[in-house]
Amino acid sequence: MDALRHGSVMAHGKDIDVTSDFSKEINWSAKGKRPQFLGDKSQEHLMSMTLALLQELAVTRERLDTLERILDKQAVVAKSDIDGFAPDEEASAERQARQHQLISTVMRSLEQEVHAMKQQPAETSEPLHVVQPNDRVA
Amino acid sequence: MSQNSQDQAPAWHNVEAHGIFPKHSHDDVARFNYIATMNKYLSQTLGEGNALAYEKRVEPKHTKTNQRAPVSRHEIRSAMNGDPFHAVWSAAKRNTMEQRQQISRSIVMPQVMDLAKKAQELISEKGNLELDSTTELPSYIASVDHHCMPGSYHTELIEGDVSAGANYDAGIFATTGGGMGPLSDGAGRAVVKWLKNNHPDFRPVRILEIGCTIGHTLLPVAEAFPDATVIGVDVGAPVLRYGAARAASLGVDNVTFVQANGEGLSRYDDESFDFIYTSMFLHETSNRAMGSVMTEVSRLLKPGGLTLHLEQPSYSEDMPLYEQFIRDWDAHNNNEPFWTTLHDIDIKNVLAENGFQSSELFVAPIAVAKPDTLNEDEPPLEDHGRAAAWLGYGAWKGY
Ligand SMILES: C[S@@+](CC[C@H](N)C(=O)[O-])C[C@H]1O[C@@H](n2cnc3c(N)ncnc32)[C@H](O)[C@@H]1O
Repeated sequence: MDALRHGSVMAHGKDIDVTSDFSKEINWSAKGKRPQFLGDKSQEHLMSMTLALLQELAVTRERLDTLERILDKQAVVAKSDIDGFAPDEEASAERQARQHQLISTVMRSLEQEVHAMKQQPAETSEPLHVVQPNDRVA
Repeated sequence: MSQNSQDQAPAWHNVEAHGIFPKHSHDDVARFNYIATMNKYLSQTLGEGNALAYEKRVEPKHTKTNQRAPVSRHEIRSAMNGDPFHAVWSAAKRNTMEQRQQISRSIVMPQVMDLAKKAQELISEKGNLELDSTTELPSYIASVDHHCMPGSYHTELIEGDVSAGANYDAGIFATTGGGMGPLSDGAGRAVVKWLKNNHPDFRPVRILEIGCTIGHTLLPVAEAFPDATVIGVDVGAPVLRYGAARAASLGVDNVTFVQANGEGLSRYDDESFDFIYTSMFLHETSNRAMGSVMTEVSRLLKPGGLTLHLEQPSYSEDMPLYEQFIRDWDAHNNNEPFWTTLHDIDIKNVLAENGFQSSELFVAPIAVAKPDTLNEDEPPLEDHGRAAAWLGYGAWKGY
C-alpha cells in the first residue's frame, strides 16, 4: 500500500491542503438534488436551524446530566471523567426517555396536528390549525 | 408523551468499538443518541400522521377533484407533497439524515490522518486488501451521493484514506436505530441464520460478496464458514481499506477486500465460487448494471452453488398504494434514485433473464438475527423500507 502523502490532493473537485485540519470538510453536502419540502428556501433553512438547535440542546442536556451524576458521586470533577462516562442500563434508559421527551416538547405542534387529525371525520380538507373554543389537546 | 424503555432507541454507547473505530467524545455519543431517538420518534410517534393526512384529507380531496381515487404511488406522492403535515415531517426526516452525516463527519475529520495510519498498520500485518486504482467508478455511483452521504463510498482526501468507511460505520447504528446490533452486522448474521436453518448441509468453500462496503455483511459469513475463502468486492477504495482494517482488528482472517466492479469480474474464473451474494446492493445500481452483475454471478457460480440477494420487498400489486408511497420516501428524498425503479421489478426476473432457469429460483423472507441480549424471535418493528427484515431473491445453480 502507498505511504501516506502530505501535500495537496483533489477532493470533490477542489484542492485541499492535507496538512491542515479537515474541519472545512465537515459540512459538505451530498451530491444530488435536494428536494424542497416547504414553501420556500428560507423556510427550509429555518427548519434546518431549528432542528440543529434541538440537537445541540439535547446534547447539552445529556452533558449536564453526566455532570450531575458525577458530581453526585464525588466532589471534584475532572474533564476526562465526563468524556469517559458510560451510563449504566438504568441511567441510559432514563436518558433515552429524556431525549424523547425533549423532542416531543419541541415538536409539539406536529403531535397536536396528528391528534387533531385523529379526531376529524374524513371528507374535509380544512387546515387543522384552527383551534376551536374549549378545544384541548391531550 | 412518555415512553417505556422497550420503545426506546438503543443508546449509542452500545456500539462495539473495534480497533479502527473512530475515537469519539461524550457529546458525539449524545448527538447520535439524539439522532436515533429522533428517527424513532419520526417513524413511530409521528409516522401515522402521514397516513392520517392521506386518509382524512389528501385522498378525499384528490378523489373529489379527479372523480377517482389515486391510481399510483406517484400520484399519491404529488398529492401528499402539498400537505403541510407531510411536508414538515419530510423536511424533518431529511434534516435528520443530513445531521447524522454531519455528526459522523465532525467525529472523523479531525482524525483522518490517524485513522489512515492505523488502518495501514492493521492491513499490512494481514495483507487482506487488494486495491486496483484502474477500477472504473460506475456512473450511478459517481453522479449521486447515496443516502445523503457526502463524498459517497469512494472520495479520498489523502492517500490511504479510510474516512468514508469511518463515516459510514460511525453513523449506521443511529440510522438503523441499533436494529443491526453492536457491530451493525445484523444483515450478515441474518444470512448465516437463514443458511443454518434452511440449508444446514451447505458448506461453501469459496464465497463472494459484491458491494461489501466495510464488511458488515461479509464478516459474519466469513466467521460462520471459517475454512472458506471469503472475498468482498467493492468499487470504493476508502471503504475497502477501512473494512480490511476492521476485519484485521476483529480477528477475522479468512477474508480479502478487493477493489473491483461487480459488473465485470474477469479476474475470477468461471465456476469458481460456491456462494455469491449481495445485501442492500442492487437498489444502489441501475437496470443495466443489475443485468451485468447477474450475468457475472451465473458465470462465476459452480454447479450446485447458491446466489442470494437481500432487498426490501418489491412493490407487488397486493401492496396498498399508500404503503408503496411511504416505502418510496427515500427514493425521492434521501438520494436513492434507483430505489423506486428497482421495487417495481421482480428481482427473480432479473435472475431469469441473465442465466438462471426459472426452476432454480426462490424468494425467502430473511429477518435480522438479533444479538444474544435481545429476543431473537421478536419481529422487527416496521419502519417502511428500513426495518431489519428483507426478502432474499436467490437461485441454486442446477447441476
Ligand atoms: C448500501 S452498500 C451495501 C452495504 C452492505 N452490503 C450491507 O448490506 O450492509 C452498497 C455498496 O455497493 C458498492 N457498489 C455499488 N456499485 C458497485 C459495483 N458495480 N461493483 C462493486 N461495488 C459496487 C458501493 O460502493 C457500496 O459500498
